[in-house]
Amino acid sequence: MNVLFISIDSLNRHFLEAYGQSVELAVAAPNLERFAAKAATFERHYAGSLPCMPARREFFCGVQEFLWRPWGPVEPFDAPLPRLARGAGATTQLVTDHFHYFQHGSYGYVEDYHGFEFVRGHEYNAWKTAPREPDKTLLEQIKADDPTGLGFMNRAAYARNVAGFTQEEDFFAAKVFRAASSWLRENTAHPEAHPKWFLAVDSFDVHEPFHLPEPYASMYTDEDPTDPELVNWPFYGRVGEGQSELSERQVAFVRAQYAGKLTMVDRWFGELLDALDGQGLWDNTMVVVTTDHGHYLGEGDWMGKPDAPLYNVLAHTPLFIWHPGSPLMGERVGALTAAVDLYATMLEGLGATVPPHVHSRSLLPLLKGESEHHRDWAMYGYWGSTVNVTDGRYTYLHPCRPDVDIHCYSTMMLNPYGWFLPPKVQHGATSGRFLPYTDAPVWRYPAPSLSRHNAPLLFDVRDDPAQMRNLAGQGLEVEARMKRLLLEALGELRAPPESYARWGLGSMQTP
Amino acid sequence: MTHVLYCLNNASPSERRLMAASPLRPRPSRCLERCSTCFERPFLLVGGTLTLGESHRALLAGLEGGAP
Repeated sequence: MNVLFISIDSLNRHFLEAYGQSVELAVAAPNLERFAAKAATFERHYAGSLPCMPARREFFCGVQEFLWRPWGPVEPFDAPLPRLARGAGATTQLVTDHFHYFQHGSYGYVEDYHGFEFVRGHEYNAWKTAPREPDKTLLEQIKADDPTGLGFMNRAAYARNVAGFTQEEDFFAAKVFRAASSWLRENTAHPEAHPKWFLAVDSFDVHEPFHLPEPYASMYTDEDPTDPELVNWPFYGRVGEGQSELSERQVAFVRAQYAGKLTMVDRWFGELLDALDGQGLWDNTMVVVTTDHGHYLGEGDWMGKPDAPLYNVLAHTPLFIWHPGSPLMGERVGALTAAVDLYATMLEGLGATVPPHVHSRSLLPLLKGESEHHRDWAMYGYWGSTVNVTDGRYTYLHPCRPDVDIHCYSTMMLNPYGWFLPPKVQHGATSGRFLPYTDAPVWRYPAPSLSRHNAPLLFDVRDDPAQMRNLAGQGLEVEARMKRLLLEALGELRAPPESYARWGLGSMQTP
Repeated sequence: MTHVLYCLNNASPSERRLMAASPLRPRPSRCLERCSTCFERPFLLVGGTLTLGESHRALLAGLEGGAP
């Protein structure tokens, strides 16, 4: 079977009609709805390692990395999905505008594909160096405060990259989904040439900057979208303070631009569905549509992906899967599932063998109707910080001690918190066979911890999906049970022994 | 109290201890999206404003009203 994987970055579940659309805007995404109506809609799907590249190591290498390592490369002991797909006789292709694949701190994610197409220019992508002084209004709206600066990660790069954009087709979603549609048409017209294929479409949109062409910029707001007081690339953090401070009017505008971008992405996603229709591919292709994480847009006073507790806005993610042999098409799947599971699911779909060392569990038994239960827990988080677990009904967010360092485990000397910056020599590193899922030696070096909240947080997300009522600290049995579930999950993945003390769980560690 | 943030990538272990001891209670952040500055020199975000200095000690001393 062929596999088409589509990630729409930062796709908020609560903005989608298929998930009840609990927002103030009637956001149109007819093609996502068209696909959801045809596919299985997963109700309890959770992110794992956050943010972008850690999620991709889960999707494409099956490793729940946040217990051991931050944002980083494919490791020499990983078994990347496109490499195994090749071995199973599939032609492999990546189409993406996700420039993080090509920055400091990331490599190894594209090299195993037979082909990849990289649409240049999104966000900070180092692409254009002219015009040196781009559009002043856009510079204000994206909060680029040093347009002529020569340092790393200057927001003005975006204004230069889009300086020649005059129509919708110049923008990123259009280019990515058109390129993917073209690849399908060119490579599936003669099945004897490519009897089996794996196509990964990794769209950076709906990620910020929320800079849009018309009609999308005005679709969900009465504001003038070119008003320089209105921000379309807000800083991460609290809406009520600091550099991320925004007025109610500005927050409303950001939400409207996010909604407009979602509608724009949906239009071009629809072209890809049309290509599947036109090529007659539904009978022999599994199609997976998901995201890496959500994006705070003022919920709980937060914006972006800040150092906030990992509420469900970020962690509870959409997943739709079309499988031609599944009796669940058009149905909703209530089983708890996790981002890392997509790796094994796609490999099995391609007829490839899933390596035994990975953390991924195939969803095919669920999809084939052979079982209704998939996993007891899903664990998620950022490396160096809190650890979070859900059983699908409750979410338990466990703090860490900021005064106890974490260790980074990798064959690379990474820049643990400066992901996009040049790597750092780690003078405190030691080496050894430290990882439980490989006998490969790696470096181990310390880095600071970052706390997101001081005490546990517990929510019943069935009755309180917005996570407004913290149930922790009340002596409820469910809190003790969720803490035990967390320990079970950490034990099953054989989390680094020293991490337990950092989470204040040292006395509860399974021997 | 003034809202002061620093980037974990921009402060050494000794500077982080200095922050923890400051009456201003600067808060650490995983990333403040100031990578250009972060790579090159010490900085704090004070009430949302980028504030540069020769060292974190000097920055804190300036904010606390004392000599570095």
